[in-house]
Amino acid sequence: MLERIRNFALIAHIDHGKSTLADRILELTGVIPPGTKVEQVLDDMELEREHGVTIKLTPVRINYKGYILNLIDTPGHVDFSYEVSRSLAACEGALLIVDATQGVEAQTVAHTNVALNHNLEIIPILNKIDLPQADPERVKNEIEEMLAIDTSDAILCSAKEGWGVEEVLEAIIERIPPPKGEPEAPLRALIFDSHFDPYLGVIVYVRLFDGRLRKGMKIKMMGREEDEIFEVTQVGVFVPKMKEIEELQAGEVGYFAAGIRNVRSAQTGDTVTEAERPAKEPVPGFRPAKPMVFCGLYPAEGTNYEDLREALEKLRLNDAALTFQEESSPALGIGFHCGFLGLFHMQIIQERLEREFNLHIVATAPSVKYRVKLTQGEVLEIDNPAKFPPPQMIESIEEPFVETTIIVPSDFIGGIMELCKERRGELISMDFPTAKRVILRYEMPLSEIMYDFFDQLKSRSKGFASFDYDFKGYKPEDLVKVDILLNGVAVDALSFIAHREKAYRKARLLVDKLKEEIPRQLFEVRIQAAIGSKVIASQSIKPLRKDVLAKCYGGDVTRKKKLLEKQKEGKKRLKMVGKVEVPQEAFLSLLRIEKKD
Amino acid sequence: MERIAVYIHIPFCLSKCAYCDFYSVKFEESKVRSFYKALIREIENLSKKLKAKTLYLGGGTPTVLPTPLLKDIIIKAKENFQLPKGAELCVEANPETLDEEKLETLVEIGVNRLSIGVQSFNDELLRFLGRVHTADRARMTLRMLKKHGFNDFNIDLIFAIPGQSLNDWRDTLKEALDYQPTHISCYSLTIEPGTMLWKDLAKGKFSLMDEETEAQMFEEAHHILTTAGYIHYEISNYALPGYECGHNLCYWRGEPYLGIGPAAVSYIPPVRYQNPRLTNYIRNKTPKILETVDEKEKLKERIWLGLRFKEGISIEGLDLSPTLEEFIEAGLVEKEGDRIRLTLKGMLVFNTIAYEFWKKIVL
Ligand SMILES: Nc1nc2c(ncn2[C@@H]2O[C@H](COP(=O)(O)OP(=O)(O)O)[C@@H](O)[C@H]2O)c(=O)[nH]1
Ligand code: SF4
Repeated sequence: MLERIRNFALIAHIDHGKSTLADRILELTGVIPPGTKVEQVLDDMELEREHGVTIKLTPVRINYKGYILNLIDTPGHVDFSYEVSRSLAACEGALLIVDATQGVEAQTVAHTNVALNHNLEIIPILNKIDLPQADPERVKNEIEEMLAIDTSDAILCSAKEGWGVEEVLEAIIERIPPPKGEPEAPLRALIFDSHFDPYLGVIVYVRLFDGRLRKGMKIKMMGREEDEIFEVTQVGVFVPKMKEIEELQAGEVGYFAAGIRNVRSAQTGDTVTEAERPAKEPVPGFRPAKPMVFCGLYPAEGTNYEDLREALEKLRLNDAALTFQEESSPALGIGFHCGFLGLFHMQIIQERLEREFNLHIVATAPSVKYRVKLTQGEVLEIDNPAKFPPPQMIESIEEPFVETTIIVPSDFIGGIMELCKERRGELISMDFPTAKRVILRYEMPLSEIMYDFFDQLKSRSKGFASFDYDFKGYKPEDLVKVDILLNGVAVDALSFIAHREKAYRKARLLVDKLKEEIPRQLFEVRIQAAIGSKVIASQSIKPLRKDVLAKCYGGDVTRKKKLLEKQKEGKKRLKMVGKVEVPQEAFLSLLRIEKKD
Repeated sequence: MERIAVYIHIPFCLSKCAYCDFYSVKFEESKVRSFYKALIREIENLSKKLKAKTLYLGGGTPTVLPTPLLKDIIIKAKENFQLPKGAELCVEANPETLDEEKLETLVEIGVNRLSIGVQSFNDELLRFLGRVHTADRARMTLRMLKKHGFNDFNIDLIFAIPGQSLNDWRDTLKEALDYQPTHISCYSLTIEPGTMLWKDLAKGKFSLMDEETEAQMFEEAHHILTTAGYIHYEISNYALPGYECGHNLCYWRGEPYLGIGPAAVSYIPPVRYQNPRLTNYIRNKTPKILETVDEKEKLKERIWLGLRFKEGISIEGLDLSPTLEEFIEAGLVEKEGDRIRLTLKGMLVFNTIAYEFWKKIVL
């Protein structure tokens, strides 16, 4: 039985043709009628298509020439590297798709390394060979040099034209080993994804390593501290729609439902086992989803807070990595402090709130989670600059670091290294695997890649740089909290944490930006940036000197009255900070200066 | 029957000034006849229902009309609306169009106040404003008034003209004082949409005066004119005691007024309406209602108009805290008993203050 199963994943850099190849495979094997798009069949999230990356694609069971092929997709973006690793952990082999007109890029490297760590059989596929610019020989060479993968059996393919797809299927059967596993051993099923169904609860996607899973079984998750026990209500596979089956066995891929109401109870990477006969060891590598990037989301004009809460709750059903809790800011009112895997994840959630839920939101500048050691020894984890203790209580601050991999044509190396240096990056290694390409590895603070790092990389490399990152750990840095005061009143939403050396410049930029954003008032407005009680930058907005209607006679009354109302209309959207009227826009100044910086 | 302030709009000018957004067209003999007929018809109609308390001819340029016609209009209006003896009868005049003969006629038919559009005693600035007359022409007109013993007149001045210096403005103010007018209006130049200046500004042909200088000019006018004994009784108006413009007082006090002539606006509470423009006016088309002033709007107007005014407003029954206290603290507003009014500094930011009060009370 196991002999006839192949579990494989697709790995590729964005746009190298992963979805297109998946379409073709499913068409050729009769899973979907020709001409349909797999995303249309399997996933209806418009947003993902627009971003050109897939966040979630269900695993599909394919029957082909007497074999069961389980296709497991991997998310295509840097923020989801952990999810990629779990998908790969569920497989014995991977199709490594490389655009033959482009070559090896950062995610190709990152994902291949994960696949190699899991001892996966890797089948290199050179895609887009229909294009005249395709240079399979060069790209093969890159694969050998940069990834240390033998390309003598690489498959040339055009997913678009359907060339070479049959060969791909043959290779899957020939080269990828069948899964191993002991059906009679206690159940060990790796969760590699899930989605929420309003009727069945969480639909958990699993790869069984040992044992069997069937309806009525009592199960639990090995990585949960809470001893929650669920009874399985349905077991099935995706073909590509959900289809109930009797049982899943060791080596197989499928789904189950167990009346689980919360995605957090069945997190990606965790191991499902039988409650009465638990396995000794879980599948290694579980790491609970942990938000890395945080920001405040507030309802803007015309949106109410309850709608925002409801929308976030709905999104959270499907997304174990999204966290939120109510917070209130004197400047922005009541909203939510939200946590995300990364910036991209944050952006997707914001866009979904606006687009799918039709909400208008104000998002504050993102922050990372700092570890603040207090003078009396206690260590706090703080992900909101507004909540930082005063400087005299702080012994030291640690911030999260990531290791980034940047691949770029060697012509652009200067500009990229400069950028990384500006962002406090420390070079770990620099490799020239081929004559024209460099692989740079940097260790840098997560906070420094939060803003427009990716855009900058692209613009300084004419679009050629590719980038991936992975969380490394915390390191102490000389960080300070900068407060912004308007006429002496601190504006929590504008506080930020920065490296001491960069704090002054950033404070100055912010203060200048605020001067532009805040309209003149009847009183002078003093804008100050301060570290503790020490002012490091200041500006003042001179009071409004002259704003007076010169003529007002009988013929003017109605018109001029309406005019005044119209002119001052915008004022209704102003928030009061002390006595100072601040437009909501101004609270986003922090984001704006980062762009400029 | 309550008497009402009557305004007659004469919508003709020799040419359009660059800053002007009043309704007026180029003076043409052919249009004047039919205008005259329509105007007299309106006077006769309305005077069946209303009596005048003051009569004010504005424009446009009333004095651009041929003397006999102007005379006839004024006499008809006076008689029909039964203007009381000694009541204010004011005519706006342009230096270019007022000669001895016209002046004598006006005096003879009982005009007791004139408002002269001088604007500036600096030829360069007059050219910028697109005025038809020179400074000398204005001086001549003013001397003529004095010669005829015509003492109750207003001089209109404009400040904050691009290119004008604080000294230019002082000189203009002092020269105006030499003619001992009973009343001086000082308007800060406003670039209104649709005017020549608006277009030129958009094209970048000039730039606006900086706010600080403009504010200083406002303050300078206040100092010079109040020192000379004038009372700063409305944001843009100064008068010797007892010589406030009675007609305009009605506007600022929220009293009714009757507007006659093309595009003239009337306020017959609670309705404010406007006559059609010349062509449709001649065709006897009906006026258009601008708004119905309900209680809320009335309160807004009371605050807004009242704050322009040295009498200020009574705040009895109005809760303006804490805004009011903050304004008082900041020296923008002063309070006396239950009345408040703007200080000089407050007048300069009249719009903002009025709006803040509106916000407190009604918005
Ligand atoms: N010419 C050509 N274009 C292709 C081929 N495969 C994919 N594409 C195009 O490349 C783009 C990215 O493909 P997609 O499958 O969405 O990439 P993914 O981001 O890896 O899923 C799309 O515009 C595809 O139409 C191919 O073999 N030849
Ligand atoms: S004379 Fe008066 S009404 Fe006529 S265009 Fe000039 S400013 Fe306007």
